[in-house]
Amino acid sequence: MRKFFGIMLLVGAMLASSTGITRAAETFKIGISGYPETLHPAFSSSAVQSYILGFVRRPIMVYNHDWKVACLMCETVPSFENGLAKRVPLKDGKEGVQLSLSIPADAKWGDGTALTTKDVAFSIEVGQNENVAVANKEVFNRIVDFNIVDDQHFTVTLDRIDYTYNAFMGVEILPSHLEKAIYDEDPATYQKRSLYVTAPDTPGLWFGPYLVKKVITASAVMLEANPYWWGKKPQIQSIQLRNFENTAALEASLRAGEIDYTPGEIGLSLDKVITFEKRFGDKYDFLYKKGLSFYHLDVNSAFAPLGDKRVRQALLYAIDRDEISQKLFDGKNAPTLDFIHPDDPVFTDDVPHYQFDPQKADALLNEAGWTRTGNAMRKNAQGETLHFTLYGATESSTGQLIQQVLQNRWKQAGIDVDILNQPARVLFGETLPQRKFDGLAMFGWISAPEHLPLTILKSDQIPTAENHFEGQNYTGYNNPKVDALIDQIELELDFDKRVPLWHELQKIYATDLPALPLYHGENGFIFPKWLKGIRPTGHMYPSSLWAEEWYRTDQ
Amino acid sequence: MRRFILTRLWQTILVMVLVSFGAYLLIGLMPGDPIDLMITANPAITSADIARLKGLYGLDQPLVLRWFHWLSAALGGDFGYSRLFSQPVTALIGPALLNSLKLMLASWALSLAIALPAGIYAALKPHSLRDYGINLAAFAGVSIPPFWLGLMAILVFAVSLHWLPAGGTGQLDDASGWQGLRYLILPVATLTIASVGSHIRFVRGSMIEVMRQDFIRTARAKGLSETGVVTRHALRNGMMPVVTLLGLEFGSLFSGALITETLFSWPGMGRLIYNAVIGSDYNLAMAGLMLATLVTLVGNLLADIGYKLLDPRVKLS
Repeated sequence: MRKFFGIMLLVGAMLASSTGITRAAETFKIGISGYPETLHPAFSSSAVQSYILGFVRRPIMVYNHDWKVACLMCETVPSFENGLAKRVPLKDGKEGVQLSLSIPADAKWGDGTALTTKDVAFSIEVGQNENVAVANKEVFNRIVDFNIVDDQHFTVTLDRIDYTYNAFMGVEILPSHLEKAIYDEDPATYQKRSLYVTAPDTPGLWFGPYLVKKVITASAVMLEANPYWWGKKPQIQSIQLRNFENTAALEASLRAGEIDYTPGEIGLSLDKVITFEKRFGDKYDFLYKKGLSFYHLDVNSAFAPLGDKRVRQALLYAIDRDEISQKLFDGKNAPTLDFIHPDDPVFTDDVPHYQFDPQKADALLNEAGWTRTGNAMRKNAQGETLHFTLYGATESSTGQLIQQVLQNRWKQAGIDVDILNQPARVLFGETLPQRKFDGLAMFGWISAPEHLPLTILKSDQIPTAENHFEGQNYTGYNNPKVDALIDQIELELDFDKRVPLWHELQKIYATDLPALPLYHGENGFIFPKWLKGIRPTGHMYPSSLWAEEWYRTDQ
Repeated sequence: MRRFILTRLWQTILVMVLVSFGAYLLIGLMPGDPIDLMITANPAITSADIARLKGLYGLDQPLVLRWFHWLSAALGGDFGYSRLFSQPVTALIGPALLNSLKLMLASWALSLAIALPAGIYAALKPHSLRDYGINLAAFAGVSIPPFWLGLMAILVFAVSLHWLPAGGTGQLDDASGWQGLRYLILPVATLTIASVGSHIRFVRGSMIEVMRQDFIRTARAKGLSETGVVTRHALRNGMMPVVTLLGLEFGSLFSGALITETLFSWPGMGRLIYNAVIGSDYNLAMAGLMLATLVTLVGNLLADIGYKLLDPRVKLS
């Protein structure tokens, strides 16, 4: 026995001594869940891609931590007030807007080449080519003219003036000195031949505080400090981003010290972070930040009982969303009032609140003609039971827990509910787009700051067989007042005048309830105690865009 | 033999074409194409964008036509481009295949190295204490879910003791030699424990059956030692069902082990094929599935040839 323990100790010492070799490096290791389709900034826009690219490049403009439009690769946000935005007549007789922008004078690519307006021009050329599969063409379609003033200054003319007229977002700057020759060879196959795909560790592709040093497809990306970065010098020299497809493995690696940090944007799910904090709260720092995911129950208004506004309101009064927050999320994911994020400058809480109130639910349902005797299910005058199906995605275990709580509460209110979960690809690929759900569907939207709900609320966006199921107004919501408000907001350039319109829209939404709001999903961040400076934004621009501000307190 | 192999090769080609057709149709018939998945939960994308992207990716064409295009290109050696990873499919399959082979071959060899002697040893004295002991261990191996076992191994050896890495291949840290091997230990051990039980049971059952045969009694009557009886007479015959099992398992060497690869962040074929099917990455999924089909068919062919080598009475026709 003594010999056995002796051997075990020897093996342990041998293994442990070698562990030190990989742990000694000064690399900051981040565990993420997911891997982007591509590192080419023009061809995808997933959260994981935005997070990784946040370290190695900068958008021209972003929403900052205060949810205001701010420059990262320009010097001043143009506006009519500062004279950098001008109304201009277009060839078709309409009115457009010309923006004057300047990129930072000392901006350089990672190989030392100056980053100039030629790079912006090339990026627009790529984006506007119909044969190039850029995901979001809208921003490029809006550009009617582009002029280079000099290496640093350019003007861009957009085809219409709306409330986002000065937010020049979505054009990702590409290095013309490396990519133009590849693109010119054959634009249609450029996506496959780009250096971003064939040699992503080329320094000249990047211009953030870090450069991509090594890529292991689907597994990891290694970054190192960019010697040509013109901004604040980052304190952390190298960063490793490791993809974990399994959250248990991510947790284990965090505990084993093989990774240092999991970002809320693309790390562990909220329930996992809460559990982790309960068990190891003394060893790490935790931060929770509400994100842009709006979890809600889409109501199919074509389904007769739910077409009645009183029934929809009763459904919301009959459920206890605070109970869901407390029991399932430890007080996080508090109930939200509508689709607008509470941090959004246009948010108002001056809308109906729908606190849990079974009496109000009872009264509304009675008024709508759905009455009950004793504990029986509610029936209408024709003897039909108040019954519907609650749809969800099989992949969402949290969603399934919420469904059960909702089903139970509605049952107590005399409403008969069946739960039907489908694989996400069926739910989002068929059931919702073809409005095949006879009841409610639970899922989350990811929006943006001051994002106009045009595709989800306007009546011309209702998918039907006639329009080949185009549009994302799955609820079938049709309110001329809302259609008009959306148009008004879009064209109102004065923020102060726009805010009351937004408030009116929120009031109508919270009264009509085309969808029942649940919560804006929170993201959980797990930090080592020595890491400081990370500031999540809560919107789609990730904390990695300000990575040069991160620092260690143990060095 | 030559005629048999040629016939089987023709059958293999036919099966491959049929499987490719079936697999392509099944993937294509699942609701939600790659663009539908791309727009999930993104209210900003417009209908025009959706139509344009579907056109560019060829998703607006009939499924059968798409399969025909895929097949024509594949026959020319072009397996296309992965939508999920923006890489040529062949560039993705190569490293993943190598990783899976490392993992699976190591655990396969280790499992057989344990199962053969253990199974034979148990079979020589059925219902003895040693047989019960080996059986108990085999049942434990079969019963423990690999996911749980892997997780426990990580918790003990990586989290608590810090002896071994929790996952990865060591590629990021440029680990080679012993450093590289350390990354293999936990996943290989997990896979081996998960498979060794069934291998032991197979070998034991087969050997018990053979040891009851008349020719074994005759061999013993001739005065051969027990070792001689086992090695010269029983083993060869007892290996026939084991060869069948190995033939069936041959495909898994190339198709990887999804759960273990996922748990240990091991970038092998299992994860690759799974992600491709879930993400509607037709080219990648098809290449992975075709490879798995091909090696399974080859494995079975090798098993058939193995029967002939083990037992000359077997006729291949």
